[in-house]
Amino acid sequence: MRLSIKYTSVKVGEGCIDRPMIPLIIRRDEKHIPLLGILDSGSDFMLVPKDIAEYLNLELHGSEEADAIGSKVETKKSTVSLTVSDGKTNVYLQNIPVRVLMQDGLKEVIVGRIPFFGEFDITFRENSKRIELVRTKRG
Amino acid sequence: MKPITESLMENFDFFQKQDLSGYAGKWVIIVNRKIAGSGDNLKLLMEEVKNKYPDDEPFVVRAPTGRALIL
Repeated sequence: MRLSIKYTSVKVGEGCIDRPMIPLIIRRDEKHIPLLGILDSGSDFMLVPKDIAEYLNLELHGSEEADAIGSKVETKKSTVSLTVSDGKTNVYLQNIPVRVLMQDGLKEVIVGRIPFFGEFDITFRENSKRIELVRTKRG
Repeated sequence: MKPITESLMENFDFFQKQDLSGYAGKWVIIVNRKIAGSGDNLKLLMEEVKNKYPDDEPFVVRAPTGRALIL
């Protein structure tokens, strides 16, 4: 099972930067939210902004500090389900652990390595501006 | 009502073609390839949009700030 998603071009300063963003549906119980996540192999976990956690009524557990650039941040643990899609193929992932950033400011969903990068072999095709995800596990 | 993944990809495609610099840093909700609302309070914004478009799937984006992202 393979998904291929085009990078998203974003205006930055006088030019544009292409970012590896993937369409996701995050679910918890009866609520869901379709949005974009940024793939980040440098982040240990998936990070969800507090605003999204509040909208989904996520149950939050155990405060945990994390190192971010230049500072420590407070996170709490939660669990969600995810759908990843490229329009042709949909992959549904259950019981995905996430960290919720407890401070305001971040409005990006960061899709870090654990457990997402273990569910797929992920290739960043920087020159053709595409992300390829090949499913490595079957749920 | 169309499948949720179909509306997800339609609205993702719409987002990729938009210049959202007028909404920099705000939450923007896209419904049926149109900007349905924007603001700082996501929960309130989602309630407003869902009341206005009860049969459609909203797609949530953070409008780019125009600054580089370093994670």
